[in-house]
Amino acid sequence: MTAIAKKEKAPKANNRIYESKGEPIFQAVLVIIFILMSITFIYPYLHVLVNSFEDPDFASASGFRFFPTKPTADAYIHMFNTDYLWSGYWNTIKVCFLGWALSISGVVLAAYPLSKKDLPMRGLFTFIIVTTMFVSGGMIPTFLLVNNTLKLGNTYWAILLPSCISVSHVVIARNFFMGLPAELEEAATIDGANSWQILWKVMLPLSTPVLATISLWVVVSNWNAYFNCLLYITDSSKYVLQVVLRRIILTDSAEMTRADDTIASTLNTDTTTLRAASIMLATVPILCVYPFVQKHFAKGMLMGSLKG
Amino acid sequence: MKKLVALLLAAILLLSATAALAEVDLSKYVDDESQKITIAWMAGHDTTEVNKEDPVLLYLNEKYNVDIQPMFLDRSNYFELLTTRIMSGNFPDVFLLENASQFSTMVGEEVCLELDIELIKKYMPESYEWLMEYDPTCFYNVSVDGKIFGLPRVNMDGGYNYAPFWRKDWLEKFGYTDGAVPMTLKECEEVFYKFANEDPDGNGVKDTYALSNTGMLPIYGCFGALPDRWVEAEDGSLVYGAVAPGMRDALALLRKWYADGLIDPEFITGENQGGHWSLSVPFELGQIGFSSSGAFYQLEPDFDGPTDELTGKGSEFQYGKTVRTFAAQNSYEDQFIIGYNPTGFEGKYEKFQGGDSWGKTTSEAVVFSYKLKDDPAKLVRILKVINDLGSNYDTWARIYKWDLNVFDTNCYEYDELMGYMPVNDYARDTTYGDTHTNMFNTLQPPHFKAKVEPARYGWANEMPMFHTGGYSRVLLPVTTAAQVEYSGDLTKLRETVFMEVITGKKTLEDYDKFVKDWYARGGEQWTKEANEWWSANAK
Amino acid sequence: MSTVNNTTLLTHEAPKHIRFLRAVKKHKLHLLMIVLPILQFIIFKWGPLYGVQLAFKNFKILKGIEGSPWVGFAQFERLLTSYDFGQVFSNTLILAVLNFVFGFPAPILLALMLNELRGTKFKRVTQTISYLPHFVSWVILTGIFMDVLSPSRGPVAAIFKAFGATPIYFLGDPRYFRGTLVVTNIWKGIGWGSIVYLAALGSVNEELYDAANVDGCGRWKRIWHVTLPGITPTVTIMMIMAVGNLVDDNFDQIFNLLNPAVYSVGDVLGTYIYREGVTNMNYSYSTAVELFRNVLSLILVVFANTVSKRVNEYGLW
Repeated sequence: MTAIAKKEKAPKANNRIYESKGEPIFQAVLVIIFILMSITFIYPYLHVLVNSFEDPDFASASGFRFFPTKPTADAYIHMFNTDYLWSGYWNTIKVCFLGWALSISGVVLAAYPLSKKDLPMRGLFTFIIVTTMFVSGGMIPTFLLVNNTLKLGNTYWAILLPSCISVSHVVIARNFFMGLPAELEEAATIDGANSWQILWKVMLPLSTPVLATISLWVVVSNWNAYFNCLLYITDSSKYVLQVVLRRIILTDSAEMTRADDTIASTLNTDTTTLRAASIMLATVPILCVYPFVQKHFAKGMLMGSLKG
Repeated sequence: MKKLVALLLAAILLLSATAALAEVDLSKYVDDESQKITIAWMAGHDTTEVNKEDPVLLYLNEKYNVDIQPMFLDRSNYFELLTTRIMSGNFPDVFLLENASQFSTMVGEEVCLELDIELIKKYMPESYEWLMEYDPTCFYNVSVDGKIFGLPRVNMDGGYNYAPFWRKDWLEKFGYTDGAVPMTLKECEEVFYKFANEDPDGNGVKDTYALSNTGMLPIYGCFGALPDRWVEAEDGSLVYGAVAPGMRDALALLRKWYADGLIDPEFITGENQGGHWSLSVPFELGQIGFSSSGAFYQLEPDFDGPTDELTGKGSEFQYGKTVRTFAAQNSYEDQFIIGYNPTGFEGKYEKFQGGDSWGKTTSEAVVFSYKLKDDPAKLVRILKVINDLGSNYDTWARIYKWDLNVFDTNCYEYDELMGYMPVNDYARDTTYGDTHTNMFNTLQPPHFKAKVEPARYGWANEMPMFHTGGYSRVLLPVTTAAQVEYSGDLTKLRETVFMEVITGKKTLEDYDKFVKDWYARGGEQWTKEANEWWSANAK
Repeated sequence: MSTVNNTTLLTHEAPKHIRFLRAVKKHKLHLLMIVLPILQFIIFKWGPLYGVQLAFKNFKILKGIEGSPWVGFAQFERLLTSYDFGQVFSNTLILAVLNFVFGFPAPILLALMLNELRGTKFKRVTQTISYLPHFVSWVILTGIFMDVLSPSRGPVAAIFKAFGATPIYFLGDPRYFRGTLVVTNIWKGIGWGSIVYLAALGSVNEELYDAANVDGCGRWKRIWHVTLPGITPTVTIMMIMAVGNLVDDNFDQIFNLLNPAVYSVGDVLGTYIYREGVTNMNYSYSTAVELFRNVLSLILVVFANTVSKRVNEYGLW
């Protein structure tokens, strides 16, 4: 155990400098490549950002704009004045957190036992799990089960429970656990730790990179999900953010009834600017999560420290 | 012989109709208005769930002695959500179906209650009257096998056909001054060649075209059909546009134009780039001089309507979107002019004219749950409510919130930074879109709409180019079995062949082969079924 | 080594049921752990599986799934005998192979490049920027690509013109359409896809790097002998799953970029089903197509898994 703690303080491999003659040139080339790529990666997002502050008459125009031609915050004013926007944020945070807790515990609890090659009925369990990658009953039976049989309609459990454990996440985590040196576990067993303790104190601290990756996937997909909310939630105050945002855009694009021309509207917005603003409102918070996850990627691993 | 059979058939139909009439017994359809009735209501799309305390809802509940339980299903996935609700047994008494395929599916699944026209006449007399006056064919759109399965939704805007618009300054260069525009296909063709070859933008570079993809619609119209919809042939039967008699000549012309550089080669990916649907990017950028991408209200000028006391806005409405976006980047007054769908070449085509048209009645339908068969009182009450909402201006103005004075006069407050801001929930709803109006605006009465927007419809009525007829999108408002089976394949076939013939990859002989293919790959059956519906319901 | 000996004892000496009971006893906590996840799969994934019968039925809403009439393989016949199926199917496979060959290694390459980068701040910022496109939908990207790739007004066309070449109509020319799809797809997904490899790179034993350094290994040798072997398990698993997803075309991307000029090369199963299904909600048909696709996926995954297990020890099962 002490070995683990000590190792974690060691400098990270990828920060280490391996000097060679060509190194500065190599780094310079890499930096140039990355700057060029970053420009192409940033542009669409910048385009959306510009459009969210743009007058609708210019927002659909063709060509490149790096600043709004006729800046206005109307789209944001419209968004912020919409009912349920803030409750949408709060609900999404709740769903993401709950979903994350369910998923990560489900994945770990499935993956860790499956990483034991001599687990009884391992083949059966793997079959039960992996098969669901290839067959699914479809939307209607799932809806009937969740809504009519389990009576989970209008609760977040209906959104989260049916899809909280992803097969691919289980497989990735299981593989990761299998890759950890068996000696670590044996040492802990000799110290008198049981399986729970081993999982909690040995395996999980070593697994931060893979758990961080899976967490990111789970949180982002819950953050972006909307269809199950449309399907199961009937109470506006329980809508998640994506549903609230979609609704604002749909309202505005109700073309046949010309809702965009309602006489009392003093704001100058249209579908393009509202959609742009909604993307900003939806993605900025989730992008802020990434730096916290990122630092876990390079951390933790010391496998082989016992082997070596 | 054929005529005899037709006559016989007609006689049988007539007989069965009278037999049906004789059977109608409206006596069980009684409604005791003192009895409160609960109605699960979904008769229109709304943007959010209607609050139970919504003043409109409370008003309606009290007025009709009902307890309306508004149901809400997101319109982006409406039919999926509706189907799951029906499967789970909990679905509305009255609900909207968005298009012909949903209507045909639900009628085929026996989810919709059959309505007797006498029942409609009896309990919706005022609405029935104006419906028949506005569009005598409106009930075709909710009919299958001569039976009625719902209420039609009319659409006033669909009564005005699309009209193309031109670059005014380009036209002026070639002699069309003082607001004159080409009126015939021959005149258009002359101008189109000049647009492409004589440098209308004066930059010394040959970088202009006459038209892109939406501009082709009025050109097809000069030959008697649009490729993607049904038209009525000379003998009164239905024929699909892509295989209609004039299409070969239309394609020959467009193919020649393409070869001569009149058509923007990027018509393949379209004029629109994902912004507002009515925007034409090449038109705004001055690459083409002729387009037909927006409906009439997207082309309307900025009227000096009466000042709205509440909002302080100077006009009843702004420019239409197409115009507005064009005007933001160009000098609108000098460069934009609305034209006419040209008339066809002299000879057999001169009688043809027209572009896109939505049709006066939409393919939407308001249908009733089959469960109401056992609850005639509820059915009658719903019909009465819909009738009143559709024929009583006072009620309609309240629910549609056009009349801001109905509930509260001081809805807005001036804010230095933000301009006029709503101060109460009612005005907030109206401003930020939660209008809760479509749900109760079931029939969409056009004469009321005209009343609240006199300038817009007054203008549109006086513009003759919006009254040339056009080719309706809903001539065949139901989906037949063959359509379900074959139309995906046939659509791809049509789109590919038309594109390739125009761009010269295929010859006109290939078009002839396409016509044969089209019929052989299911088009024949589809045409047969279309005509069966047409003669059973629309004749 | 003791584990191996125990296992050998268990498998060879005791009778089967005794061995099983011993194993249960040994793993009782592990079994306890897996109970809840297995229950979740049984209830929410296996429970609705009876819905698969819709593929062999003609679904009637009011009759429900059980009550709908059987039609045997009619839905599959419709799919396999429909006019364009051959073209659509081969387009799907060709695009899948292209996407796999070029798209699968791309995020690995990006992760390796990021791993070689020195400045920590620059690296983090670059990394964050690289997955921005993941958050922009294809609808919006399509509008942008139409501008960027337009042969008359796009910057790409301007570059072509500057070199005296004729601009290419990337979105309207069948010769270039597939390439455009593959490249734009890589561009959108490369950053997001690299995350899992970055995590794997973070787990490579750093002492091996030190050892390589001491041995005087150059960059390429180090990447080849230390970095790549270190992420092989992750790459293998991701690859097997990617093979399983081969027949799942990028519907959102292709649907938005497709047009009649490129139907012959770009029409895939997803867009085909959309076109067939858009005129009516045919649940039975879409269930059948889904089943067809899943069976193909299953075959591909079993194949990939078997190969993988032969080559190295890693596999999905």
